[in-house]
Amino acid sequence: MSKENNIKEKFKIALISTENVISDDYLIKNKKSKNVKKNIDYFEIDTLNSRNEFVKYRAESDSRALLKKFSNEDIFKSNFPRNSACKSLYEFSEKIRCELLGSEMLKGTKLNFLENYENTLSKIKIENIKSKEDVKISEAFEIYILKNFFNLNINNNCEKILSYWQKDLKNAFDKHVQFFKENLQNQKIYNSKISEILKDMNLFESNDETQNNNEDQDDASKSENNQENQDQNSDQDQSSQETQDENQGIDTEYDFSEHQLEENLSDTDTEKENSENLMQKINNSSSDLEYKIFTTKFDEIAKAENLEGFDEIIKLRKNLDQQLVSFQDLITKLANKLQRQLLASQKKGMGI
Amino acid sequence: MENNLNIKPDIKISVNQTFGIDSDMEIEAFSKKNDYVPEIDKNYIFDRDTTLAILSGFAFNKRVLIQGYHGTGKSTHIEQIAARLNWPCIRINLDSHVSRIDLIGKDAITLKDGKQITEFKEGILPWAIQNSIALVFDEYDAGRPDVMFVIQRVLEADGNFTLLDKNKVIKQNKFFRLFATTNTVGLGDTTGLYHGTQQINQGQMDRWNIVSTLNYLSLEKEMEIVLAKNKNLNNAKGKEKIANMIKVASLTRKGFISGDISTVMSPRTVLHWVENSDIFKDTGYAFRITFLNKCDEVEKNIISEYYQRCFGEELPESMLNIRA
Repeated sequence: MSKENNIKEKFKIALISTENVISDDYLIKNKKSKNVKKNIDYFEIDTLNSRNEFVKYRAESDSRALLKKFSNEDIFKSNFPRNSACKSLYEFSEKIRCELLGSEMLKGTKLNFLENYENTLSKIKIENIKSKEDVKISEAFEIYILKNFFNLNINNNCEKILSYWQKDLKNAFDKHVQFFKENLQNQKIYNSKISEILKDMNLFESNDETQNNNEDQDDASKSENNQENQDQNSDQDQSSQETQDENQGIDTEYDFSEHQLEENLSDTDTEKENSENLMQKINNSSSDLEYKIFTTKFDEIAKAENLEGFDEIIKLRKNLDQQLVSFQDLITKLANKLQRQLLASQKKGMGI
Repeated sequence: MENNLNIKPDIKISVNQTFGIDSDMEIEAFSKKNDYVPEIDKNYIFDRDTTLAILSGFAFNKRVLIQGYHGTGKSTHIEQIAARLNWPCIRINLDSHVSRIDLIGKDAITLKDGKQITEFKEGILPWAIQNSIALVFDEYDAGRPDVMFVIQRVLEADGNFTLLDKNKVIKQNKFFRLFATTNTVGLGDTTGLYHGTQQINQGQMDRWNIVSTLNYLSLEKEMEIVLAKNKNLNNAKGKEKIANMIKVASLTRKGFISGDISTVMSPRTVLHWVENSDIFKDTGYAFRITFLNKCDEVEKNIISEYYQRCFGEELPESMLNIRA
């Protein structure tokens, strides 16, 4: 694995763990959970070239965790506005509510949100905006909420965007801002009030909704792709994580980056014919952009038993065992870690 | 060792007044202190459930086993209660080097009338049983199996102890009390934290009248304990700092339970961190030397992220700094 991918993988693992512990969902989830959105480790990291990208992933991860911790789905759905034009506004308000609660709880999380939102808002461009019709209410609403709840200083571009909807938002929300700040803990009151205000705004199901629907379809197709990739990659990710763990503490010339080893352990002391199988797979990560497969038409997969005679296989196995002696400590460490994770999974299954 | 501690409780004290616990219980205590009574820590904060369990042990001669993660104050709890009752208290760490002869006694060469003679010297256990002592076995689950069977008979409230080497049957003193602390519940270690612990014979576990668990406390309680020992931090800034430290500890405990990391921060670790932070005037550096440097290399990134969320600061081990 290249250094770049190594760093991405480590950061992803750290984010997943942080997300688990912040959301209080720190017992291992079933990775084949039907609800993909709630499955914490579905996100992928594209690039980590700057501080802003680190902050962005941290903020997104913290936001997901806090939504999981503080948002009750039943209450959320029961107050969902009927007007689909309000959908994104309602969802955003709930997201902000959870983020504000998290910001009170964790200082670093608050800083992550503030920095990320500042970075996001600073990238907003207004060249194509000439009238109110060019500005989605959801954009203006987000800026309004961030300005009033996170107390962010917004730049001129954001002020301009907000100005097109300023009157509507001011009339609807200004007198309730304090109320919302006082009722952050009470989701029922908060959601119902937001829903009521949005309903009273009489937003038309206009371009905004069409754009939102298009975005939703894109999101849905992305999540389907993610689901497929996730299913394909879940085993590979798990073993690549183990491989990466092996790489961390080993001062060795061996490079396991491209290969995964799966091994059914058995008693190696026995002289009887053993049932060990050593399979070698090439890690075809879909995110590996350096090598492009032209065709798989002529690929062949052959088991070792068919390539060599039995005696040769035994000899190779002994050779491998000898070479692995130095990794015994690491194997023990990983075995203990796996045991703890299995125990956590078992406790989760038993509802402890 | 003083041979005769055959003293009796001569006063009664109120649990409510002495320990700050909402209870009408009154308990026998000693009016005078001796060399075996622990020193009182005036700032000690008592956990209600654990305190009541231990007091039952003192009041009604029940065998009390306190179980919990390391550094949560199991042994200290018993000591501090004994200190306030003026009850002589001795702690024995039952590590794997403690053998039967250490507990029961052994033949020793002594000088008598100018002659060397071999005499059986009673060990700590026969001596304690015959006196008004609260005997605490620490790391009870680390004891060797052959040693544990020595204790078995004594576990019964009126259990007599047969000293085969002296052909003697020792009766328990009416005010002898027995306690133990353990990290596991005698079923072996399932966490991977407590190497060296053994499974405890179930017949022996059955003899413990009360098993109380003392694990991690709530943020408010833990903060109270830390502030009690660090009064100079009892201000807005200090409380915020301690609250953040305890939040880091809490995240590590959750991370451990989920199997992401292999080490946890105990309340003791938090106290050490506070002290080191005061010494080095740098919370991040103090965190690294108190806890992070004890962690596995591959887990430092994860713990650094926990730290960043609580303090809003980057440690050198965080991925952001490594990438830079």
